[in-house]
Amino acid sequence: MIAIILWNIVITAGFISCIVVAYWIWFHFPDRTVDDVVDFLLPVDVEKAESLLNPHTESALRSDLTRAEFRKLQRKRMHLYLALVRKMSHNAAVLIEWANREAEGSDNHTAQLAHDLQQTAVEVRLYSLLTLMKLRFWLLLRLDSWEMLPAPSLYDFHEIGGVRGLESYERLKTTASFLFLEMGRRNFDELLHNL
Amino acid sequence: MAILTFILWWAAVPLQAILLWLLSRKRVFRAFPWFFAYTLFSVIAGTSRLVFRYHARSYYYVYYVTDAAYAFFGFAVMYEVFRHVLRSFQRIRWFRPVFPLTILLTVVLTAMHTANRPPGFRTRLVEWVLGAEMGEFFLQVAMFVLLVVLVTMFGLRWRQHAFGICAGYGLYATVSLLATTKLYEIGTKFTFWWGIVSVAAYNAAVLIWLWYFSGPATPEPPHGDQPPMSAEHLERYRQIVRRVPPL
Repeated sequence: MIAIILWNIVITAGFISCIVVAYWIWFHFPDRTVDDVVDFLLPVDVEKAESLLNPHTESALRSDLTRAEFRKLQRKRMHLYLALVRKMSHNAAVLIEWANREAEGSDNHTAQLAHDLQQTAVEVRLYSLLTLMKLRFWLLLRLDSWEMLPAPSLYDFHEIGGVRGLESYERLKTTASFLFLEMGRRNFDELLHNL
Repeated sequence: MAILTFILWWAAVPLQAILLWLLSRKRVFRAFPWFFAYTLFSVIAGTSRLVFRYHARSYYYVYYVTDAAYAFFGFAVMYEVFRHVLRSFQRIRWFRPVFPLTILLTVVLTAMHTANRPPGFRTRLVEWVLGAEMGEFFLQVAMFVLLVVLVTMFGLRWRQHAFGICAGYGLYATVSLLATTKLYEIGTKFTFWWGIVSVAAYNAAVLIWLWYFSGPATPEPPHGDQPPMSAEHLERYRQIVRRVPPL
């Protein structure tokens, strides 16, 4: 019975994938060149993200606030981190598209930098997707009104799926600026500002 | 009607000969050697089947031997595309067992699904061939779905040729899996429609490949017209390097 259900799920998934592929062919963003990067990025306040993940700040808040106050504040902090991670995820997707295009070029040095950027951006994207899932799960539990479970620590989000999120994001910024310079662009300050 | 059936049945052979010519001209064998080998084999196998179609006994052997080889090449091509598209995941350790686990799951599910005998078939060999074909299609569909999910989730752009190969195979494998599953359930009454649907899906896949490989090659990305870096920029470059955290 389970085998039949799984079998039919895979066939249905196959047809849905065909539709996704057709949708992609029709609606995808045309080749993303170096000129289509900076304006599409969303600035991420990395320092703010670091302060949210700081275990000392969190333990200070735990000791200074009442249990109910901390739960309410922690929910707000989780929402803020969710917003930051969403931007990180978006930026990683934009940079992957750009890196994929540059990796197809014939210049070996550029292709190598693009390949590095691809890999780092995939790490960030993986971290972001897993973190978003975990954060949404905790937000779904309404920590402020349901006290059966202990409030989660945001420090636990610093490494997910074997990827240290903020370190990878810093590396992503650096790798992106390398490739940007290699492409002969001078406005890499804008790139760093928008990342 | 007979002419239409003949065209539907054998159209893939000349189409794949054109595809082979396109692949050779664009030197696709460098990036996708298995897909090139698959196309070359398809032309030879299709021509052999066409030649032996009036010799029932010889056709029987040619059909099943080439069918087994098709299964092998189909698997190799999908693995080639899988590796090609998902090279960016090689740093992530837990990603490595995804492919072998998919194979294991498909083998188990195929074994469970083919436990009951299909109605109407005279020999055990045909049942085994059908079961193996279902397993092959199931594996190809599973890999196709996995690729689409990963590429969509991670925002990876499909490299043009990999995308074309995968789209063609995905469509053919999905339609054929459904048709073969129905054949296994309904039995010999469905044989005619199974043949028509499978051949039509395969022709559609070959047309997709032709469309992708007949397009112009991806243009080289434009570089800036200035030299890559001045001394001032090199200094800033060095500053950035110093800030890079160790891996």
